[in-house]
Amino acid sequence: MTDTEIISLVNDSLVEEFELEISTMVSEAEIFADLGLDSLDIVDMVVVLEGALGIKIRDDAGLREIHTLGDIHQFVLQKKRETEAAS
Amino acid sequence: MKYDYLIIGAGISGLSSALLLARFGFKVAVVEQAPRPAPLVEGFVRNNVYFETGFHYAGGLEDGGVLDLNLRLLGISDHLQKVPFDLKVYDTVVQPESGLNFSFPQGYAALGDALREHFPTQRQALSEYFERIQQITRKLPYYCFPEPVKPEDLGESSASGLSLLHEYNLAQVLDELAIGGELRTLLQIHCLLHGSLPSEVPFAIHAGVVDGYYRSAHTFKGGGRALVTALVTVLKQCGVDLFCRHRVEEIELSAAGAFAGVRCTNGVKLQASGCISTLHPQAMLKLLPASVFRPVYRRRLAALKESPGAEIVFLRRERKRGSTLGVRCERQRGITPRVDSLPVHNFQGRNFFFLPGSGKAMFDPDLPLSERLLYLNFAGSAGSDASDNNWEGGVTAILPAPYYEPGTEVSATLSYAERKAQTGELVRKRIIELLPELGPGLEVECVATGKTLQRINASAHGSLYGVKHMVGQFNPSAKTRLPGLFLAGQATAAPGLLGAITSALITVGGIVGHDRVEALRRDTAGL
Repeated sequence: MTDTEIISLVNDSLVEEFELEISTMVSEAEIFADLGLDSLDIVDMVVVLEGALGIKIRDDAGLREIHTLGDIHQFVLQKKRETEAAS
Repeated sequence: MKYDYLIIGAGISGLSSALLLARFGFKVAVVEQAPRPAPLVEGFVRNNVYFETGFHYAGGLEDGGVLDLNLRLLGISDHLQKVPFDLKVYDTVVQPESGLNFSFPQGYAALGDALREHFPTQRQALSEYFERIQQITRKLPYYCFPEPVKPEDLGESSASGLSLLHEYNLAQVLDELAIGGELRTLLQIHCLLHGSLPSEVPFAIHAGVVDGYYRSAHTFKGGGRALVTALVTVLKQCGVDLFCRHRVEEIELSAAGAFAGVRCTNGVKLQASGCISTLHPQAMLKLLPASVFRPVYRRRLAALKESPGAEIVFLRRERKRGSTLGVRCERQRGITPRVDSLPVHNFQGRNFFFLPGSGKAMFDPDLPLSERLLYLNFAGSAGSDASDNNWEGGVTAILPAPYYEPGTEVSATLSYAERKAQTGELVRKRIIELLPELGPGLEVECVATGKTLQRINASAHGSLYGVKHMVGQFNPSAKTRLPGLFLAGQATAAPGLLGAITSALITVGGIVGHDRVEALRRDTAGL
């Protein structure tokens, strides 16, 4: 998968599973303020990302640094690269 | 009248939540669909014999132990009399095929000595394994007193919660320490106490269960029934209302979309500012409009995997074989004649785990009855209850069994009754073969299946522990998106008596502030 494909897969999954508006899915969107997620949604976000991309997300410092949708994209791309490098 | 909090479900987690909230000054009511509270734990008496159903023995009940402390915190200790299980041989593990026969003594020191003697080449690994168990339990919320509980410890907002619970399973830890063979079998056997396989269970959850049992094993005088009686007595003293035979069919919302109350199938409506649901998470979903939760959350709860199903055979000893007693079903409750029962005192205060042959999965429900894991519990509830009725203690035999899909017809058809009778008889013969001393007069009192667990204990799938705890499965946490609605129960925190009470501490801590619950614990512990 290319980076663009991964990003669109992430966006599509989040739109469907969290009932978000596709028009709000811009990379600078704040996940709490703009997308309306809250801390209770973090576990579900992990479940969605793991399921969509076949990656494992655990105690990642990166997870705590996520503020915007763009941060999610960068985090996932990094994870995906790590997973591929490991296999 | 309007309550501060309603608790749905009068199991251990529900009753504990109610007691805690009452201690913090809230007006609380508990709503239960069954005729009596805590039907899973209450056990039953027939023909002057007491049979344990869901409570078999407990770890961490030694003075100052984690469960001892929790019972004191709930204010029920004074109503209970602890009875230790056999100090030298409380759990006996037997694999007839390989000749493995090992008995667990109580306490880390004695257990360590016994295991090191049996497995001298694995001494180092064993010490490290025990150390790891004690290390990780220090991080479990409401287990030890290392640091104040932080929300992230509870897995609520990712990070360290995910790490603690989902980093390692038990099998990975045993692999890492190169623990194999019979020692591995022995260290895995208590997976029966949470219902997840070694390759599934988060090491932290397994450690939180076995640590208590490695320290001590107890029951109560009067067994699980005494525990329920104590909880209900103190509940009444605290002014908590208990509504049995009230089945909640809908959670009602306020105009602002927050929790407002519940409507029961008998038409009763109860209002409150908040609610703790201790139902199976999937059953909780059915009480609310789908729009309350996000699709991803609903799907997550719907996909939660269950712990194993089980068949439970209740046995007793009679003075005279060949009497009119045979397999009895629950409907005969209360009308059976009294018979003269023999004590099972040689085995009182002991458990036996008879394992399937090597290479067979521990909980495989599809093995023939003669090969399936067989757990025997002699809880030693003989003696008396609070009103000094004298009972003999019955024998409880538990075997893994296939699930029953929710909604399966539960009326006792002839074939169902026949199948139960057959199971009872096969298990009885197997027990006599394995423990011949128990043989003379051993009779089946009755047999419970997944359907029984569904009907009497509201176990949605008829499983032993409800939702399983496993690495990569994210069980729901105490908080929900619906303002005022919280969850508790063993699915949310951990399984068993300790898990159910811990879930109440976590959920009530989320409501009143963890610092206040923590202060209450420290106060109880005299710290």
